[in-house]
Amino acid sequence: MNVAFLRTDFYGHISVGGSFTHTRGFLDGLEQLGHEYLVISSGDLPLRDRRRLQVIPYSTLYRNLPEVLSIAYNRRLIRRALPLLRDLKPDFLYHRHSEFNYASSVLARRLDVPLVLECNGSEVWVKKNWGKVYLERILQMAEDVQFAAADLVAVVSDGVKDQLVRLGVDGNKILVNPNGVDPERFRPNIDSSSVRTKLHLDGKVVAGFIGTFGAWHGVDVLARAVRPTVDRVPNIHFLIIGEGTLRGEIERIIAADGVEAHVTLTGSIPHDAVPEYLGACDLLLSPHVQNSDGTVFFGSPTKLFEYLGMGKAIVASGVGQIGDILHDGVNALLMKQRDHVDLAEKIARLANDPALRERLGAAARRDAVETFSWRMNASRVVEAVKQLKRT
Amino acid sequence: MTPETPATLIVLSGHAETLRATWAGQLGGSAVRIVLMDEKAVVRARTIIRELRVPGQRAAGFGCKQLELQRYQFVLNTYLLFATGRRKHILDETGSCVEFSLLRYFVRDFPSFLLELAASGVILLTAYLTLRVRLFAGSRPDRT
Repeated sequence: MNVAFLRTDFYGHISVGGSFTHTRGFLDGLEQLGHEYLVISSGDLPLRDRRRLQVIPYSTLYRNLPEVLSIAYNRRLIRRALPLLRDLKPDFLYHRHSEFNYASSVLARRLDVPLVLECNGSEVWVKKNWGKVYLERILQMAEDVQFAAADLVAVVSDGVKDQLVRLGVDGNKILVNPNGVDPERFRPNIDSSSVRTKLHLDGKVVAGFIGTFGAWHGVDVLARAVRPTVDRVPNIHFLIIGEGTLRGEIERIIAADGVEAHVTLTGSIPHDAVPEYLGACDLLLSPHVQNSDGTVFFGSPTKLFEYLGMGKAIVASGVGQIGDILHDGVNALLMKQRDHVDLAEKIARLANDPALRERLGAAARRDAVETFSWRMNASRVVEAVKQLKRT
Repeated sequence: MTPETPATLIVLSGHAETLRATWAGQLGGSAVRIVLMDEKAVVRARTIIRELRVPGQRAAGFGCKQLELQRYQFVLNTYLLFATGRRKHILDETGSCVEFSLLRYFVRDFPSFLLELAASGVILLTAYLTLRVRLFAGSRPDRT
């Protein structure tokens, strides 16, 4: 099949974080299955084959009023992408849903091809709960147009499906397609000695976390867990990889608790270096929290699948899809969400029990290889589109 | 005024320490006072102007992750209009830097902003009507 992949958010070049991992993983999965694709993107993406990328950037005119730039991007994208897509003759459009963007519904109609909308959550919900909503009426209308026009809506979890069904989207056209991992890149026994040496981790038990420090990642819970963990395991060290808006808060908590010597904040690292950094850890952490409005966490954390692939012991909260994938005492230890003392106790238990770490890690790796891979993720979408074309 | 005279950098996005080091280098070694602020907080004019108006400071500025993608630059320049200090900048982590210029603000930035306002009005109206028509013509989800 020939696939046109549209990325339309206003973030410029991305090379880290869950959204990038998801995009690259899906495209790699398509490639492994022998499909062709062209990415039309609002910003640069570090794809291996640059010929498969066409960048159509946002206009520089609309930069001083909130949200107008995203609305204006629709016309620009339609005008510039249409000739490219007419040449490409894709079998379907795959659009990563983004705020105020309705261009893919116009393009799909003009090209008369199916539209697959990858939706990782209602943008109206995201703006209301994690940001600030301006021009809500237009935001909602754009989302409604997209949901109505999409032939298939691919979501990462049952939580997102439930959210969209509540918003009126036909549940029959929603495909629940969890994120995945490249089990060849994220694997056990990666030589991480240089990372351990560089970061002075030798002789320590290292508990790792990677993420963009979003509100849902529970990084504040993680920061609060450092002190009680150090009290239980004096040679513990936390390797916190990533960058984000909550970094200042994390630094403040760590300093207030006087545990700076037990924490390394690496900042962002290149995605290609992630396996080596995760390999330097003895156990991995995913203390996600439920949504702030009381609804169930609806994400499908890419880090979780990468942790599984690494074959390391995991401590995670069982919120949302995480609870479907991880089973306490089988392939992870589950903690009570938002409970930093419980997190500390679980970390201490693993730190003091290498045999348990090994057993949980082996089970995690098995799940990654047998059940979750980007190839399977892409395959589920392609099969669903084939089904659409048959009906 | 000595090189040690503080400068104020309001960090809207990006890594504060990288921005501090970058700007301190450009200022020739000034101590930089960092104020962390969410980008959306640019509407809090009184707070921002208070932070920027430090008596005796050498410079004031805004820091961000990537200048090319930084929104609200006209608004930021308007705040810099009120800032104390001889040097006023908007800069990013890579070292890209725009120095505030009163002449440019009035001759280029302000007319551009008026043009943006007018064009934005057209964009919003067009988008609203387009979406209304599309929702009227096609089926729509029933948000309850």
